[in-house]
Amino acid sequence: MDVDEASKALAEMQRRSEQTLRQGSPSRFPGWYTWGSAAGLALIFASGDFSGWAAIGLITAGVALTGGLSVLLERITGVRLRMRALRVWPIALVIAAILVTAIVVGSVMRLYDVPWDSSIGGLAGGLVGALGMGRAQTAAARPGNRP
Amino acid sequence: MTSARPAGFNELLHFPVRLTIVSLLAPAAHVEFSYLREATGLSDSALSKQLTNLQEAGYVEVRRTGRRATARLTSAGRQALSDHAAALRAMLGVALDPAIESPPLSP
Repeated sequence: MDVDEASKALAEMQRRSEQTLRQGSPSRFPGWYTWGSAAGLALIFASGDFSGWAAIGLITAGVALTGGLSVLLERITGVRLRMRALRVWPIALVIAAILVTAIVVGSVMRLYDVPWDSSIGGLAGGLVGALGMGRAQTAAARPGNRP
Repeated sequence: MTSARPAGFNELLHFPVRLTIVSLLAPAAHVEFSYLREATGLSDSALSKQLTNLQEAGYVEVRRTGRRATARLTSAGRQALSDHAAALRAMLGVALDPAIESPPLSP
């Protein structure tokens, strides 16, 4: 065992870990996942315009859609990354941006008595999610963040 | 230049194909068998054989649900990989630091 072999083994370990990180967090999500997840989020926020079973139904549908698409994406990539392998702040940032956008837009709509204020806020939040999710995921899985 | 193997060096993991497999598994909660097959370029039987070796050592866990099989690194496997990487880095450190390799002679 020489130093050159040790160096090559370490380089191989790094390269292969990065390969799995890239596979688990593609730099571009497929369109069906991006827009489907955005629709799921919008459904969850839209429940604010309803009450009773309709609201519960919308929340259930939104959660099922978002979760189901994540499972489907995982089946396609073949990889589920450990949370510890990812940077938390880009994901936290995009979630915060979605929530703030949905709440602020919904509140402004309500202030001006615009009907379907929560649904409009949800659409705005979903749009922010669709635009930010891919970038956040790429930043979260950038090589150099070792598990 | 050759040097002695430091503590933590793992002969089983150092075998190239097995090192590739555990390194692929390291950042994942679990991966599909098909991903490992594509990433390593191994046949089903060759990959299964290596995974069995790693399973017998307690480093990898394979789960089968119908036709779908997933593999994950166990905590023992994660620790062994971490120790092995530290041992390799120690070897490089020793090689790069002449003070460690050739301690000063006492008067």
